[in-house]
Amino acid sequence: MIKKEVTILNKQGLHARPATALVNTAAKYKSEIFICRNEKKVNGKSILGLLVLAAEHGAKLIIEADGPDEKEAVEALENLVGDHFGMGVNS
Amino acid sequence: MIIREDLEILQGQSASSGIVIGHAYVRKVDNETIIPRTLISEQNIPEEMSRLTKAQDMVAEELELVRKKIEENLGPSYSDIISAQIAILRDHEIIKEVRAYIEEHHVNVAFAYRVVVNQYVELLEDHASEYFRERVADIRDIRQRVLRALISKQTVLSSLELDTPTIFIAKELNPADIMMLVTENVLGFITEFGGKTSHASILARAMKVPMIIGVKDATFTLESGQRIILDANQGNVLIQPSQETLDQYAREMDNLQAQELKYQAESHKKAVTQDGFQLKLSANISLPFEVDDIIKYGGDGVGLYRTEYLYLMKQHLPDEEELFREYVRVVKSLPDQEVIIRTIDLGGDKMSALWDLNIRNEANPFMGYRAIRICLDHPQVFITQIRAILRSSAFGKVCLLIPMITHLEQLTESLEIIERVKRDLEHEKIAFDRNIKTGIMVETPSVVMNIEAFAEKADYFSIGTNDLTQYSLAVDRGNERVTKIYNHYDPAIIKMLQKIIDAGHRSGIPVYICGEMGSEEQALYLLLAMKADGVSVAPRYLGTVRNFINRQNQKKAAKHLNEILCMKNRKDIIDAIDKLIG
Repeated sequence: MIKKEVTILNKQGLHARPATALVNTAAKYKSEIFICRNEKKVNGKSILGLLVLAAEHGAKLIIEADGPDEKEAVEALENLVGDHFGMGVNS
Repeated sequence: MIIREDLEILQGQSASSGIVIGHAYVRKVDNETIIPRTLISEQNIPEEMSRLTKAQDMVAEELELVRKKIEENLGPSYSDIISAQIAILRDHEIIKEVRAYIEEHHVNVAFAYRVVVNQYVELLEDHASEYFRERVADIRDIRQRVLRALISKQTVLSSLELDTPTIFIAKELNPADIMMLVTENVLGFITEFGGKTSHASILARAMKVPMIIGVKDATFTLESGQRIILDANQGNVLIQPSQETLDQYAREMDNLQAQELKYQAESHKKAVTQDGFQLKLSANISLPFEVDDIIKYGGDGVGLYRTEYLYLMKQHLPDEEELFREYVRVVKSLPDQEVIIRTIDLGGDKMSALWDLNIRNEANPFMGYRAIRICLDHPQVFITQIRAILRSSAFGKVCLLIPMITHLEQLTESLEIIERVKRDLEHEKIAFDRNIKTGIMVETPSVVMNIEAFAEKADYFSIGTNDLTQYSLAVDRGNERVTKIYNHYDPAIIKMLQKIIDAGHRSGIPVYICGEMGSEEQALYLLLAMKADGVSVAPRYLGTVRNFINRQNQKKAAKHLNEILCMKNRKDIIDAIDKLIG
């Protein structure tokens, strides 16, 4: 299992659109993916789960992946978060 | 119109104007359908799960249809709400959790689905952020659609079988409901709750479907099958009208239609008085496709493009490209006419949902955190919009308009930001109109008192008479107890108009009026007398206003101006103008 801490850079936080992008990326991998914030831990392939995290701008999340492609999965998700979920640096 | 007194009438607020006659369809309280809990055997689990898949497919199909309709009618930027709902509907993990729940408890799928989704609803319901609390409504809506499909094997549409012209009545409606129902023989909407700026109201206006909101106990008082007249011009619902009333309304609707055709035939005419004084007659719009009405009724471009709606309809702050696409659509469809684009005039309560400002329940929102006040505090939001507007100026005649200015420093700062954006665009070699004009909304008494200073810096004035009246008379128009105090024929307001127009003309800048006042005959008469440079009205009034101006004589109106400006009472002013109009 691999863990990696990331910070939400989008000004509006992890809202529906970035959350959908995260789910779509996570779904490409066979590994189980969890996203943790404080004591909450949700499935990274569930948009409802991610919404429940209510991660605002600056929130620190831990990406957890466990499975055959865990390394690639964490890397892809880390890039996605770092890239403002592809929504542009002003989003 | 005279309405017989024995008729039962319900009253509400018009969210989208028009008159329609049809049969009522009342959607009774359906947000908490009773879901029976039944036990199932192990071998029935696959069957239960396949029922869920089928129900999801049905709902998805319906939502895709809605998405398509929104995109066709409003453009792709407006379908975010539906996309988010589809993503929630298709959440694979939810399906897994439902299966796990069924395997453990051996219960029917509808019961399991509700338990699983409710857990998420509860977690989000008490969240501090308004954005996440609002998403609860989306999740509840999806839950309801799926449960309805599971239990009755019907979706919203297929369950209605509306074969007669229908007026749809519900406690509250969401955008998906509106889009689905408008093509299904539904002519109008009545709701108990909702605001004029809610998504549903915006869509109803956009689709030109009459809608009345805030009708108390509508789902209780009205019954399915009743014949009703929905008069959204007056905000009245007439229940089981007599043949006489129906005939009366039919005649009224015929008249309105005949008038409309007449105005359309005159669309090439200009707003010129009999003695040759021309007013710039333009339109107030909120959504790009409203330009069609300007072309239909004829007018001198857009006098006020309210840009709030794209922000309100989205689940996030729109980016520069989205805004640019939106503006350029309007600019390109009116190639030789001016398009005045106003920067966002939103209150903090609306914006907080977009980027977690945590501003809620301001005691006095009209005097609170809104419009330019927010933009100057959050320059990035402002700059993004200015960039999009400037870029659109390369494709036609665009002007910038800044709302809610109260003191000169705000204008100075706004102009500095605009200059900075211009330099950036030049540096990036992006085309825009270097001579773009920037004007301000004159809508606060402080600006009126200091108007000469603003006339030196602004390229034009646009008087927002609604807000100017509200702020000057200290009247909240939404408050029933004081609305009768609200009156833009108050001597104080008339004197202000004169002062603003004079100051503008002394500095050589045009003065336009974009408030509701501009579509009233008495006000138009006064504005002609004062030599205002233009009025901007809702597109549907373009014909009426032009027709009125064509019948007036500017010099004759001007003769009585001083007399009217000396009057001390509201009533004297209105009576005097009425007498002059004849």
